[in-house]
Amino acid sequence: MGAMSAANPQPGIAELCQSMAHFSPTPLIAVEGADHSVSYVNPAFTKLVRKAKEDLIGTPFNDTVPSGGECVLMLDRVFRTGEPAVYTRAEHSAPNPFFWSYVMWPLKDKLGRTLGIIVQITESSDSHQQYTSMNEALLLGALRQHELTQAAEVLTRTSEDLILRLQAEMAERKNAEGALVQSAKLATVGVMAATLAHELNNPLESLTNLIYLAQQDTQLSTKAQGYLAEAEEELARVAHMAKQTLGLYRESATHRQVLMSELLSHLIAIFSSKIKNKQIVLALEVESEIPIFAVAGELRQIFANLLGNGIDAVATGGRIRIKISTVKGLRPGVRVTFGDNGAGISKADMGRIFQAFFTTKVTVGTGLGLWVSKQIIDRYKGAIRVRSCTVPGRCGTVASVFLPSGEES
Amino acid sequence: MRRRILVVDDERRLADTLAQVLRLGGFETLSAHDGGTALKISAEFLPDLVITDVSMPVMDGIELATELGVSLPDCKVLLFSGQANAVEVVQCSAMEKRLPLLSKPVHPKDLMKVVESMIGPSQADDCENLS
Repeated sequence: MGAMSAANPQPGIAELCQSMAHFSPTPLIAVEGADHSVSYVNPAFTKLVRKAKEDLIGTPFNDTVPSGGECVLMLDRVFRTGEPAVYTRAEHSAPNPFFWSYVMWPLKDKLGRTLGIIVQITESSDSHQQYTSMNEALLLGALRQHELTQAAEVLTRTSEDLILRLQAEMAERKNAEGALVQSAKLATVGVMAATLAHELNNPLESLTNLIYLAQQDTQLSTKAQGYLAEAEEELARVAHMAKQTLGLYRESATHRQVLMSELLSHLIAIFSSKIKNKQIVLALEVESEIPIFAVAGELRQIFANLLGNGIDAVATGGRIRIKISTVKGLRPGVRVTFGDNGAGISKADMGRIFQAFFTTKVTVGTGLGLWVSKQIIDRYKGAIRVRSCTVPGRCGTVASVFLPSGEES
Repeated sequence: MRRRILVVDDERRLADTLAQVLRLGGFETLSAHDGGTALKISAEFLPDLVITDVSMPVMDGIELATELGVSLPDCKVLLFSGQANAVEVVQCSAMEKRLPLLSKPVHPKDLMKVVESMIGPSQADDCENLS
């Protein structure tokens, strides 16, 4: 090591990664060679797989993570092409579905030769606390950015040309992580909604009280009493809207046995004036049903979104058909099918309907309805499927929601 | 004897109007705008029920409930939250007790129902107190 030639000494992969990723809260692993043997793991990774660093270094990658075998094909490709890759898979062995996401990018020397591959692993349980995870994603994103910048500074001192390459790769990786941008966006909404809800609900409560107090004044003229009654009605509307849009609506968080036919009849009643205005022919067919153990308000939100979408989609005089049927088998439950003869959803839009902020209703849509519905359905371990046809004459959309009956535990 | 309620919220107008609403409902009420003052007032006022906001600076609603659980074990606590997505009961680990939680805004008439379900009507039955 003492007498070096004129060329810059090239730091090894382990050394490079050490300074860049050691303190990252995200599990990170570096592999090298044709068999992708592990040359570096950060502490977050050893924690994730619950193995000591010594037991991991030198072993083939596919032995180190749950879906390692499937990743190897991707690693081969990254090694061959030098292009970054992202691989996501669901792990069903766990009690809740887990999603492992592998982001891989090559580590190259100044001649452009691939020295090894860095694999960053994120694991997410999609079951609960949407907001928490979104916030985490945002925080992590910011944190990682910060760490990468810091790491870059450290590395500058060791090998300047490698740094440029690393930075370019970081930028590339950033592109590969479009999903993170999306979650950051959602995190912003989550925080915004929570803050707004808090900021709005307090004055709403005060206003409700003030109107109520004013109404108790027996000296009030009939006219003033009328104004107050109107104010109270409008206020109830705002309060209801705040509850519906800011955070998942829950008028009661208690799980109970919910009959879909009752819930839908009630919803149809709420939408009746809209249905009447558009002269929509609506049919509710109950083939058979079993109760669903759930929070009624959450289910109502799913179907209010679907019904609202149907009403918006059909032309005047259009048809909406809702069918409820029992699903038997290993996971018994109820299937609710919403069919409409509206304009249909184009193929291009179909892939995005469950994305947050995606809307075709430019002036009235928030782009959150189906997204929220999907979150709720996922939480109940149910499923939603949407089929659509835009061919004139037989256009329309069918959304089919399955909800397991759930167990009263 | 009239039932006593203490309303605690860092939003002064909210606390004061709510106390006023409950007063019209026949309860004897006071309001406080922070947890510390609420504790001091409770020591003398001996409320049957404390309705408290959850997120307040310095001492939050849950901490206040925990303190009250020690100083006034018979006093009931109703949490009143402005957060959307709130649950109906909060598990207070320090007290090993579940506290009911109500989401703002609530119409006074509905609030009155909740209050009565917790401590009964505004005028306590004297016979009950004698036993």
